[in-house]
Amino acid sequence: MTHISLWIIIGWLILSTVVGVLAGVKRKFSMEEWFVGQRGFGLILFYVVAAAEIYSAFAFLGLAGWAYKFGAPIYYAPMYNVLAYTLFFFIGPLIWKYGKTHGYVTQPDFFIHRYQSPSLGVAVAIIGFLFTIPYLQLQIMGTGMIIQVSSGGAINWQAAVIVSSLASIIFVTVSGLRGIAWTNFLQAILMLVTMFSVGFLFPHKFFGGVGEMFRRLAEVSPQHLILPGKAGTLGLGWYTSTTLMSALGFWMWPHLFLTTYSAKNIQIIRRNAVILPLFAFALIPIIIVGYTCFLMAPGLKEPDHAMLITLTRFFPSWVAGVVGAGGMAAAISTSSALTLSACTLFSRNIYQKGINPRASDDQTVRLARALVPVVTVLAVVLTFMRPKMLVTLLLLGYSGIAQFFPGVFLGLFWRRATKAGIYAGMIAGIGSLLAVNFGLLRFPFGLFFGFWGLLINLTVCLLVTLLTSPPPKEALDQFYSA
Amino acid sequence: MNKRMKIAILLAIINFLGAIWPVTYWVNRIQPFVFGLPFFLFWTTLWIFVCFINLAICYRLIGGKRETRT
Repeated sequence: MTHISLWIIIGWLILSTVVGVLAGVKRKFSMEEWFVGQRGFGLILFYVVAAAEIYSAFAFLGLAGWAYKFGAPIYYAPMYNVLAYTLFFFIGPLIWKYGKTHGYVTQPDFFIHRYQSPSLGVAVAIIGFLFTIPYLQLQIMGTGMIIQVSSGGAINWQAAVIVSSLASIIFVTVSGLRGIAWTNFLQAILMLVTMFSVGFLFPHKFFGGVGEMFRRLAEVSPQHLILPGKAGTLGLGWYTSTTLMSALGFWMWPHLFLTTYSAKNIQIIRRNAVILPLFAFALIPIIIVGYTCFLMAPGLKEPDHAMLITLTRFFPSWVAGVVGAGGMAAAISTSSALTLSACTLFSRNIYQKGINPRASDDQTVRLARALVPVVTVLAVVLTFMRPKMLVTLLLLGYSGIAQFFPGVFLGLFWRRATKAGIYAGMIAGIGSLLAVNFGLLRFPFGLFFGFWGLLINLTVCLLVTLLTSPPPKEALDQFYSA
Repeated sequence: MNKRMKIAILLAIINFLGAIWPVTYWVNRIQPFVFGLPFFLFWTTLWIFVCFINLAICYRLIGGKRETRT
C-alpha cells in the first residue's frame, strides 16, 4: 500500500530531472548564461524561481515541526518573509542595477567593486560558502525524511538522499540557473497546491474545520497559541530579534543575489517584491497542519516528522505520495540553487579572482560545473555525520549570512562606508557567533544570538568606518554612476 | 528625496513596526477568535495582507515608469 506513494515521489523526481536537463540542453554556456540565466527572466519565471528557492524543506517540514513542538513562536517565519520582501522592494532594484551595469555574476563581485578590494571578495565568498552548507544540509535531510517516512520506511533516508542528490547533480551541471528555473516552475506549482490543500484537509478531516480545531487546541494546550510558546522560552524578545535578523539577512543569501541578477529588468524586481508576500500566505496552512498533528498524535520524538507521520497514519497512500512529492519539490528546488551558488562562489571568487586571476571565464564556468558533484557530496557526507533538527540548521545559516547586511546595505546607501569598516564588522560579528556556538559567551535578554552578532557587527563597522579615511572619490563615482 | 519616496519609506517602516515589539506585546493573545483563528495568528495573517497592500502602494508611488529616469 505504501508503494503508490513511493512511485508518485520517484515519478516526480524523474520528471523534474528531465525538465531541468531539457531546459539547458541546447544552450551554449557562457558565464552569464550558466550563472545568472543571461539576465533574461521575466515576471512569472522570476516569481516561481524566487518562490521555489525561498520556500524550502523548512517551509514544509520544519514549519509544521515547530508549530507542533513550540506553537506561536513559528509565526516569525511568514512575518519575516514579508518584511524581507519589503526590504527587497528598496534594495533589490539597486542590487540588480549595479549588477547589470558592472557585470557582476556573484555576490562577492559587488563587494570587490564597491570596496575596491579583491581580498574582501574572497572573504565574502568563503563565508558565504561556509554558511550555505548548513542550509544545504537542511534541504538534504528534509528530502531524506520525506522519502523515508512517506515510503513507510521502505527506503531509509540515507538511500533517499543519495538518489535525490544524484538527480539534482545532473540537472544543475547540465543547465545551470536555467535548469533550476524550469524545474522550480514545476516545484512551485506542486508546492502551492499541496500547501493549501493539506491546510484545509487536515483540520477538516479530524475536527470538521479550522475554527473547531483551534477551539480544541485552546482548551488542550493554550500555550501553543501565544508567545513564549509551549516550551516557555521563546518570548517577545526572541520573537522580535529573530524576525528582524531574518528579515535583514534574507537577501544577503548568495543564491538570492544570483537570482536577483537574473531578472530581465528593474520592473520585474519591483513587481516581484509586491507579489511575493502572497506566497507567504501559503505558510499559514502548514502551521495549521502542525497544530492538527499535535492534537492527533502528541508526543512524537521527531517533531519534524509530525506532518508526514500523520499523513501516512490517517490518509490513503496516494495523498501521502503527493504531499511527499510536494515536500521533496520544496527541498530540491532550494538545494539545487544553493549548490549552484556555492559552486559559483568558489570558482568565480575564490579561484578566478583569488587564486588564478588569469583563468578565463570559460574555464571558470567549467570549474563551477565540475564542482557541482563535489559540493553535493560534501554536504551529503556532512549530513550523514551530524544530523540536526531542521530549524537549528536554518538559524545557523541565517545568522552567518546576516553578517553581510552592513556591507551590502551601507555599500548601497552610504558613500562613506569603508573596506576596513566592513572587514572589522564582519570579523566581530562572525567571531561573536562562533564564541556563542562554542559556549564561550552568552547573550542577555533572551534575544536571538544571531541578532546580537548583527548588532555587534554594525557597531564595529560604523566605528571603524568613521576612524578610517573615506574611500577615494573617483572609484565611488564610477561605482555609483550606474 | 522626493515626497513619494518619503511616503514609500514610511509605509515600509509601518510594515516592520506591526511585526515587532511593542505591537506583538498587545496582540499576543488567544481571545478573541477572528474567522476561526486565535487572535495572534489572525494578526499575523492580517499583517501579511497589510504589508502586501502597503507594498502595492509603494509600487504605485515609486515603481512606475517615472522613476526609471532617475
